[in-house]
Amino acid sequence: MWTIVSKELRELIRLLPVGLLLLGVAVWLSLPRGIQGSPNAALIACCAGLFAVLLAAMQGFFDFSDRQRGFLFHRSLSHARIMYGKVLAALIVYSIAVVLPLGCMAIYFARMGPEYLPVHPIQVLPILAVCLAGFAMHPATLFTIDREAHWLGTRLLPLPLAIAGVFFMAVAIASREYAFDTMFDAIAGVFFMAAIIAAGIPSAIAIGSILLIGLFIVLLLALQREHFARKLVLAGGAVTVVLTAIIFGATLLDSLISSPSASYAEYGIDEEGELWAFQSRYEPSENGYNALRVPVSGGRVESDRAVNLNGTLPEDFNPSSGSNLAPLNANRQTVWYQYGGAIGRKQVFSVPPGIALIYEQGSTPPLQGVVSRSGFHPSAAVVGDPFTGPAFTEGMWASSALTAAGYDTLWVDRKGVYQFDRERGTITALVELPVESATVLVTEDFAAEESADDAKVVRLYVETSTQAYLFKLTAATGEAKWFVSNSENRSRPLPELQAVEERTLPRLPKSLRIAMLGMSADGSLVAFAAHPSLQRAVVANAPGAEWKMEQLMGPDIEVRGSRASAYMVALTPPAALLVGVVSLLIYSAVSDLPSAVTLNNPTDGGVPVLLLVGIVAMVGWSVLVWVLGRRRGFSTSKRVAWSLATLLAGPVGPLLLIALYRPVHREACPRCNHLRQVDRGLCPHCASAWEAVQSEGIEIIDFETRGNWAAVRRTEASSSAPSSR
Amino acid sequence: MHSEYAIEARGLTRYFGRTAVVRDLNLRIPLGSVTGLLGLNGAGKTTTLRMLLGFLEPTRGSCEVLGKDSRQLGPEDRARIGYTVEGHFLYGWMTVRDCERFQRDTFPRWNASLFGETIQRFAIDASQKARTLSRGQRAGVSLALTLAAEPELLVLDDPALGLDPVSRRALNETLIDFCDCGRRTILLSSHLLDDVERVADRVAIMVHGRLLVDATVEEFCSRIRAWSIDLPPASRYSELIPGLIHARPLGGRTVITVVDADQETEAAIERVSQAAAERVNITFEDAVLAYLSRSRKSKSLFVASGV
Repeated sequence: MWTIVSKELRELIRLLPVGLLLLGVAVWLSLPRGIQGSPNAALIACCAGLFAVLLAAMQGFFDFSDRQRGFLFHRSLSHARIMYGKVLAALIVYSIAVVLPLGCMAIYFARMGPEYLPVHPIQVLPILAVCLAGFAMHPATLFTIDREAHWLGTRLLPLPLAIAGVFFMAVAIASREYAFDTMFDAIAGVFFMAAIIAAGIPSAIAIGSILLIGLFIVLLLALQREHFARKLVLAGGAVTVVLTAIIFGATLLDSLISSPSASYAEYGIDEEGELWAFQSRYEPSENGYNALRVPVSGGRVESDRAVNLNGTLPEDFNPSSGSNLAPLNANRQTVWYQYGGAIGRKQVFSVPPGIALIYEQGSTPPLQGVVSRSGFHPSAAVVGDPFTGPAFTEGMWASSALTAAGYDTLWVDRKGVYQFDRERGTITALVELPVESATVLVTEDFAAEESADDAKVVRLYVETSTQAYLFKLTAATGEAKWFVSNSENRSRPLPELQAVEERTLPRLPKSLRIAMLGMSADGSLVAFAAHPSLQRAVVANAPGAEWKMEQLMGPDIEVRGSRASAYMVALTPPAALLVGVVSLLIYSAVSDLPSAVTLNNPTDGGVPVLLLVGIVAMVGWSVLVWVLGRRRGFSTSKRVAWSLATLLAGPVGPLLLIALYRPVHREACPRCNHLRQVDRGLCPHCASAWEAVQSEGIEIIDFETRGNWAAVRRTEASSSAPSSR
Repeated sequence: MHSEYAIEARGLTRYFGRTAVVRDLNLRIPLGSVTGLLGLNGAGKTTTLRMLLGFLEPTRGSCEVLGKDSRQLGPEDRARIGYTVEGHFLYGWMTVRDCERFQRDTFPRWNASLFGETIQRFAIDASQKARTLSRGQRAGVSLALTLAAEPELLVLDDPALGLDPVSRRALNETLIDFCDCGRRTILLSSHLLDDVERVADRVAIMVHGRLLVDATVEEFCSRIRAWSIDLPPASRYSELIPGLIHARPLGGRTVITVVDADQETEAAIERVSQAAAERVNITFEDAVLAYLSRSRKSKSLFVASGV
């Protein structure tokens, strides 16, 4: 077998120049073009993904033409050993390939100075994922091509799988805050799909595999404790997109391109304190350092009816929500924080390592210094704080940049609130407010207020999604302001909170989780509770009173994307949908998750349409499998089994069937004239064997041979019986 | 119980889509024989060989090679079979020495001197890369790789394709030498009739996926006769002359080729030719071509008549 491995390795080395070329392109694309410039990230992912496609294709087609196959496989080695040798060679190659991104990640986690990092993990991750997905693709491709099956299954199927992997890279990059989760799920999904295709011929395996997709989702979700709802959606989404992208990747990609960064509905407060629901798109700012949110449509929120998002927004509409979307002023030192870090060699590391970098735009180098718990440092290389791992750790800086008088900058992490004095390079703890370790900060806002003899800063934060707190902080004198996030010109007096010393606000209703806090025109607190895809709600509260919930659905939001949604529903395996929805309902019943039943909102005209599409799709896929099964000579019971499985598995059913079985030609039986499969010895209708080809009278066959054959034929005809494959 | 046949195919049939490329093929290759498998392009020769060696699943029927079902040929069985694929495939990036090492490591027996002698016969430098070899040299390496494993059965798929006369002679001599040392069997697919006649002792002819001839060369030649008649070719001859294989115009006359001619056949020819038939000598090549030409023109001349 090592002979085969050696031969394969030598053969694959020929791809090295191509790999190096693509690596060079990827490195070139990833060169820093700004503090957090990331416009090329998707290109990098696609570049790496294309290499996976190329590799899968090349490895798939090596040695599998008739001539090459005859040369390679006709030797004193079992077929399996030769195939294992090929897979082992691929494993070695991919292991080497994985060393590169893993090495980069090791450098990242081992060194303190982020400005010296060659790459960011977010950049490495897609390449790593491509390597892993590529390796998953490799045996799938080999074993699929090695089988004698339909052309689609043997030649074409592995490529869409790889392309789906590329598609995932782009999607993951586009929403990189979820990159780790999405990647994990995507890789698992690709592995699983590859295994299914490679696995085999028996129907039982195929059907079992289809059903296992549902179990796989459940298992995946069961392993994820925190952020269960989000994981659920991501996991289900990742697996289903793997499956759907195989057929309609182009459709999904098209929908992605048409609205690459359109947001879900958001809620915000305008200058007058009015509540609005709106959708926006994100555009890179002129300096390319950060994204600008540009509201494109929306409507004013009124208490007892859903908002119409088709309305036109005022030209000067500028909502206050979103803490890290405000444009930076050029030539101004700005403390900037961002969840999840940024792409680019010069990055903001406020979250993962427990430090924050301060940049000054337009300067060279842009990095001005690093703030850690121990103070301000001119270089990240001298920061002593260890990295503390991924986001949401104890050392996280959760907020920043309060420029109220007397407070140059207030920062907060999960231990308390700190004042940062850059001149002196110090960090002073204003208040120790440790947050429970199991909880997660969702949002924070500050209110700085001043009276004749006192000045206070009020911190308002929400943790565990449902619980809001107010704290009063002592501070130097200054002008009283209500400040929302780090947007400018959002100052608002906050008289109602003057008396507040430290107070726990009433707990929010169980079904909601807070995404943002704000202040309405009448001075009441407003909590925007949301779930990424199911509903939006607004909860308003007059201080001291109970929360009053005004639930808002965004039906127009869902309907606006109905065409794409219809595609999705039609292509999503019903089993996956079912598992996802049931899991969501179960989890909703025992947790703070918003209920999925909002889908039943009667004002949502899109739901029945999608439901209809889903049902038609389910039946359609099953009918297709029935027809395909018939062309492949399946017995009725086998067709029923496949059709039932397809009801749950959606498009995976026909896809697998096409990949695994060849259509069988049928010819009229010479005796009873019924159509019968040419690969069966006996006619299922009249039990006759195939008749010998009629003699032309010119055959020259050795007499002895011919005599023997008559006997052999009689024996065979009497002993053969129809059998399913 | 050991079979006296190296290859036995029973009712071998293979469809590609709706087309039956090989239909109901019954073939027996005796041990120690050299069989030439002949047929036009697309007749089903390569498909048959692929099925025999287990690289292609028959739609129905079965075959045994050296007493083993060809679908279940294991490493030990394959070690006893030598197979040269059409076009003499070699990995272009390998040198001849690499090729030898690769082959040697994957076969239990290896006759290094035979390998050396064979590539010497084709004037090949062992340090040459396979991609730089001429077609004849590639054939030599391919043959050397196959023979050095000392197989009992040699299956060659069009080994002389595109070879110059010198390389063809070298190929034929190598095959003859191979047969001389021991009871070895060769199944040779080819288009070169004189080569087959020189090397083979049996001939099998495939036409449209069907096996029309499976006999020794002597028997094949002895059972075919030809006459020249002073009339143009016509489809009615097939109805009138039993055993007619083919009729072709030649110098204003028509040469008709017939199998298993007896008195009745000769009488029919006399009737058709109005007593102007002349017996002509026929060579192996003429006889084979009669079958193969029939294949090409069968639709117009024979099939329509229902023969």
